Amino acid sequence: MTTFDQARPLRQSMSWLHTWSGLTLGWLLFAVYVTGTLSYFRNEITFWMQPELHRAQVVAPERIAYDRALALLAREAPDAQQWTITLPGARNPTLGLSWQSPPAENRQPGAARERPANREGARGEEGARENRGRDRGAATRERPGADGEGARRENRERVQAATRERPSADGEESAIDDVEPLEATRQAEANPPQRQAGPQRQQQGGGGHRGPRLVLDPASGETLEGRATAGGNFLYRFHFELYGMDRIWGRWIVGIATMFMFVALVSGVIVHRRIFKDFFTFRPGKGKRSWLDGHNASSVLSLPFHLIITFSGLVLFGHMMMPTAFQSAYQGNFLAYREAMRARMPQSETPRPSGERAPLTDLAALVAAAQQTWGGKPVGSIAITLPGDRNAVVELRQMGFPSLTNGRNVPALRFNGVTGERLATPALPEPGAVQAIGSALNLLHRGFFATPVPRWLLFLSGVGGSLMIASGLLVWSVARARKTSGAARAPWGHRLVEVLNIASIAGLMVAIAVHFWANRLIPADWPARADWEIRAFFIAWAVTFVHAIARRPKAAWVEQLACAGGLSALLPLINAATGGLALPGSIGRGLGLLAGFDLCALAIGAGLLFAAYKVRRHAPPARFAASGDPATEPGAPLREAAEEAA
Amino acid sequence: MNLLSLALVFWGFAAIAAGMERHARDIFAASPSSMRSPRVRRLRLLAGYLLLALALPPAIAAHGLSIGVSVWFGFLALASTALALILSWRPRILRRVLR
Amino acid sequence: MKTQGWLVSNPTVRHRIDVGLRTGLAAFGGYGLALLGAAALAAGLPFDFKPDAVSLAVMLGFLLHLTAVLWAFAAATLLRAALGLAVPAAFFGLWLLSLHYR
Repeated sequence: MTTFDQARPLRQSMSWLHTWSGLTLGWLLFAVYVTGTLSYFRNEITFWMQPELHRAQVVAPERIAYDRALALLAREAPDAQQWTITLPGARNPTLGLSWQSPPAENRQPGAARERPANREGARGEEGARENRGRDRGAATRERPGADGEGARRENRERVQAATRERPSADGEESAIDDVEPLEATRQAEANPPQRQAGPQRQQQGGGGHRGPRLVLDPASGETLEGRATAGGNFLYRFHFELYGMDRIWGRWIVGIATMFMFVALVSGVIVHRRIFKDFFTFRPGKGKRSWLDGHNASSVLSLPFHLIITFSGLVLFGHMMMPTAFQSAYQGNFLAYREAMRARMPQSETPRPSGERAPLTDLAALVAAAQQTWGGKPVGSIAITLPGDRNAVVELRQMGFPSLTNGRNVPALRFNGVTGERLATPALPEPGAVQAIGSALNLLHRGFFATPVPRWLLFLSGVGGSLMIASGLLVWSVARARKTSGAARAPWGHRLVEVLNIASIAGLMVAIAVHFWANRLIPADWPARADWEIRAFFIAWAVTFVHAIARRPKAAWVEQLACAGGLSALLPLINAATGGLALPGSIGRGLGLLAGFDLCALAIGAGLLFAAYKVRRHAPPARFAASGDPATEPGAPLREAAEEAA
Repeated sequence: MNLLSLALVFWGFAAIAAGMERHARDIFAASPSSMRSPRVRRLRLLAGYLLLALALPPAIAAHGLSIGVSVWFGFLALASTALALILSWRPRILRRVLR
Repeated sequence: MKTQGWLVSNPTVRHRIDVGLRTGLAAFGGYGLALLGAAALAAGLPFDFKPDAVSLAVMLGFLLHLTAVLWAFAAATLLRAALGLAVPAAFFGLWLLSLHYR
């Protein structure tokens, strides 16, 4: 056996490992990185993609038309167990209404402990609210988007295509969405601890509808009807479970690619010994040297981000990829694990219906009181349990996560729904060290912050990571173009890499831009329009592959970069022309999220066009002439990767 | 607070770069060679690391401990990228501030 | 060692076999080690709050896999690469067994 060995220096073997672990799935990783980076602005993208909502006015919390919202809820859902009002914020100017029907069975007081909805924010790892055993009622099923994790989960399983699950995504993504472990859910479905809800579930599952939900203009209380679109959710879902296959397959593929990334990162660090010496070094205009510098710089300068995002990506898939941990600790009984996590969360009593009617207290006053208590931090949502009853309880939750280490808990305040008197709120448990680490990994990956600065930094680091992958792929090509420049034809493997580079780097940008164009060009009442937006994305991407094969490499790069650049740069115009709020308006009205989208599209488009221009003008030095590889142009693909921000 | 932290990080890195031989040559190309002496460079390195450390408290003040530290890392990445680009194309614009 | 014939005498083929075996070792052996390690750590780490042991075991599992992959390619000889995976695997296996029969 030992005769197969070749002892090689460590650096050489690590270099081999770095090259091949990076290259093998590099194109997929690039797509994952780009779509994942865009997902930091998923709410903003969804809002942009529903121009019908753009006329929502920006108002201060005390001027929100609570009375109109409550009147609407009273009309639409007079018997609901709980109403939820999602307040406008920097990431979404609209007011969202949703409600939860009373449980069909079991309303015996005391039987159901209710956890303040959403107290535990985000995570599937902890299994969030697995109330299944307890109140597996219709209520859970119908819980609407903003906070019904139960409903969400049901929907996810039910609706295969990730993005279809939110047929009328309303521009209001709750921060509570999670990447829950599928198999865990399935297991929970398969063995409900108390079997009650089988039939109900069937019955609910048929329609594939989400909970009822309304979107209002916060100032006037007028209802806004957004078009059917997957919105930013398509890119978000794509980045961790791809599309068009069983989602468990998609997750495995992305999970394995993430492991490759992890190996490539760490072996890259080992190879690149002179990290600190070359820290700021970038030598433009020197062919392969420049590419390598660019690759090193984009890797090293945000290395902490790359390591964290990759590792946390793996940990988010922990249930799927490291199932033995759960099996050995809980003998495969995932519910026991969830129950243990759950037991630690603060519990508050569910109010019992008194049967007497009483008017609801003034919400604006509660919001003001909560903001004062929180030192000005905004309120994210209001949940009213037993609305209209004398025992109503109002719970106000803070917007966003104030800390990385206790991420499952959003600060909340509870009030008596009639008198407005403050009720005791169960104290948030201090997380242990392991939980704090897990929570920080989770929240850093997902960027659920109340303020924009950390999210922008994550976004920019994601741009850097996309540049890192793109430049790494191009280094491979450039290095080999140089070696084979004497040959008449590049070997088929090099040609393959070249085509994949073009179509998966420049082509992806075309596809993303086309996706946004499709959002505006497909009529708002077109049947299955949300699906067609996604099909447009994949059709465009497929075309770029054909194009990359058909054209000479340099021409293919120039044409695709120019196409993507033009389409991106024109997005603000198509936005204005198809019913969206134009740039001057969005800036003037303080809709930063809309202006941010348009300005990013403009900047990215400009960057792509510049890249196209540079590639076109680039005359390869004589020794590269035979390959005609535009990748030897230093500026170009750097930009194009930057355009990932599309 | 954010801007303060970012500025400190940027000038911290600028000082560190000016303390490295290769970049000192670029930045102070037209200056007397005393600007590039090892002793001066060592002082700059020291000042640079100090500035980086000083940038941490404002970030924590603005965002709380856990998020503040992450934001500080983000600023490190942002500022060093900006600096790398400046050093590649216009290294001398740093000269005046760095003395 | 004497029966390997022409395969081994050809340096290119030999190199490919070497790389192929190391890749297999890294991917499957490494993952197996990670699964075993995660199982042992989740059950054996002394945490009062059991989910903490599970979460930590998952994280360490990925790090184990990473280390195993690096080791599989860094080790000077294939034998050492395999041993480097087998020894910790045996350790975790025994740990798990001891927990089981405790």
